[in-house]
Amino acid sequence: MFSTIKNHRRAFRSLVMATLAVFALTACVQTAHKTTGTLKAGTENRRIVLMPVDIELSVLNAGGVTEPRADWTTAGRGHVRTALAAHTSAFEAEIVLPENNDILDDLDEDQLQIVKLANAVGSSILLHEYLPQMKLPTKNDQFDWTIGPDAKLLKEKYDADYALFVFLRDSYASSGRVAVIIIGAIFGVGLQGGVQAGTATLVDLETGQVVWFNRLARASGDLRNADAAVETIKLLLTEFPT
Amino acid sequence: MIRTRASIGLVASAFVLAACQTTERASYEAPLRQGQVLDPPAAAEKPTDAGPDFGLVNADTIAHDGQYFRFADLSPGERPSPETLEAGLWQSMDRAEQRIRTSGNRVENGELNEYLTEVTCRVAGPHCGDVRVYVMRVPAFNASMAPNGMMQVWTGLLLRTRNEAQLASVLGHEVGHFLRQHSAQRMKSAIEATNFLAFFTVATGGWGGIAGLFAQGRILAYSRDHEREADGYGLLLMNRSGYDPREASRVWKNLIRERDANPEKDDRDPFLATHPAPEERSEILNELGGAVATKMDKTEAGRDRFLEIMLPRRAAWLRDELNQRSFETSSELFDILLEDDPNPAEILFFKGELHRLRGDEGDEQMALDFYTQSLEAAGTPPSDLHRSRGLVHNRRGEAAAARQSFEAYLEASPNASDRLIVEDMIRRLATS
Repeated sequence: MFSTIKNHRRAFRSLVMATLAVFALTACVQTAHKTTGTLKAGTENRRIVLMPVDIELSVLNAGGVTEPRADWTTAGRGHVRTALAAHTSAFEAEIVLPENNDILDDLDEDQLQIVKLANAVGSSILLHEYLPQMKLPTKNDQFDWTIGPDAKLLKEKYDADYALFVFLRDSYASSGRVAVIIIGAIFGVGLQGGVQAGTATLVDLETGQVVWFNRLARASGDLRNADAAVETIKLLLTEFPT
Repeated sequence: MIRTRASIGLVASAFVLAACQTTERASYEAPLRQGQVLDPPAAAEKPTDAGPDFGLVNADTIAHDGQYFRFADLSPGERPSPETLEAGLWQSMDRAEQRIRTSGNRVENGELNEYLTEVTCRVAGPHCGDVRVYVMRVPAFNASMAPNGMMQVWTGLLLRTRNEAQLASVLGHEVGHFLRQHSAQRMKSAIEATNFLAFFTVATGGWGGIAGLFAQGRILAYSRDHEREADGYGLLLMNRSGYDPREASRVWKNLIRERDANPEKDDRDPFLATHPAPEERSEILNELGGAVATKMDKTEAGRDRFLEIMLPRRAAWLRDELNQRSFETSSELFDILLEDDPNPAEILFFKGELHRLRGDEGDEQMALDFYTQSLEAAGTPPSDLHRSRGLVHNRRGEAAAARQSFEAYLEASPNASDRLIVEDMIRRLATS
């Protein structure tokens, strides 16, 4: 950096992470929000596109600084993708897995903006539907969220009826952090270890309506491991419409 | 990238605690003194075209005082290996880069971006392919470098630099951050410091406060030394690419003037905790830049080309500057620009706009005076001038003069988007 800066770019992401961390500390029960329990009937082959997973795995160091790990993240992305495909194959829908599952390189500018919007809407849902003090009075207790009719851009791109957006963050306490937690416990101080947190958003690409949303936040799980990733995805996709 | 929002007391303590570092000057010269000492290269590779102090042998080797150093941590095209902290940061920055690339305030003008890429490549040399430049429309003086080579340059910086060499000094500074992977170094240091702090706190049953000040002080001092080292890189890379290194300190001289014009200047700006004082940077860059320049056969400022690219795009940036409503510093900035600007008409118009927007006692007359000066000055004032003049006359109840100005505006820009509104105003003025 060259000169003075006021950076708000990461602020929103941090807020989302902080929200999820609060959930993790309070070990919440899984409750999905949805507008429907079933996918659209009548179509022969309903298609759900699994959008590239936004995922990061990191080490929680002794002093509380989280350090992203590229090798774990790459492995974790593969495990999650496999687990998602396996889990959703049980649904009566065809699953579309885009080839380029890392940074959406094959999307044009407009399609990318829709993905960014979907991520922003997902963050807002997390904030306003799960924290009672952040409830929006104008929603009148209805679960009513949309990314707007331009969702059709993704419908055309993937020839799909629905898009599933998954966001995951997983951190693991280093041995030093574990030691600090243990010593802290002796002195009666509770310190946070690793956290697994994430959200999943299912969007109807015809209307842009969010038809199902769930979040996960807990102090267990391990996405570095293929079997454990299957369990995480099962939990994340609780009450997924069938 | 991450701002330290430390309390004033903490910042002050950090300064005290950081007083035991090396002298500042040595940090500026770090690119020439630190880094791995190498065996002398083969005779064929010995530097030929530069003086004994700044001989560049190849992509990442420099000769200094008869010794050879490696001044880049990464070879051109090299990516950190996957299990390292660097790789983790790069991956998370790759994601951020996609957001920046599609960000609403990114300036995607082909010619401007090509030019910046060209100058960046000239200073980055063999590392040209590792750095990507994004111009962001933000009215403040700044540029930043992410560890993966994503560089952001703000339009407020393009407005304030006056030639290609000054721009190159900033770009060279940022490339220096990349070559030394400063972000990763800082994060490692923060991890070490906070780890120590955690153990110290539990081991002493809660004496973390004092240790916390030490950790904080160490992290901030480290950050300031990185900025100094990056400034040194700016000079080194300017030397390598033939830009006049004396221009680097001129950037800071102007920024100091602008800062001092602010009546509510806050000397406890937390920015100063992570960066050296502008006065220090200006002074040492002046001294070192002069020393480097004497060893160069030819130095170039590149003013004409720079202005040819910037001037046609500048009006929007000047407008952004005014929209911050920081009139004292904007006024000082405009005066600095006027000292050597090829299009003073444009600057004078915006000086008029400043007074029109401020609207204090006497400002209306000042605005009209500057509009008049703008029309008489060299260059071309923006076509909005007559409309602004009409608005001021209208505010003062001078119907005839207002009407005349609005008519002149429509004559100058017959396809103006607000044509209907202005025509309506003319009609009202005619019947009043």
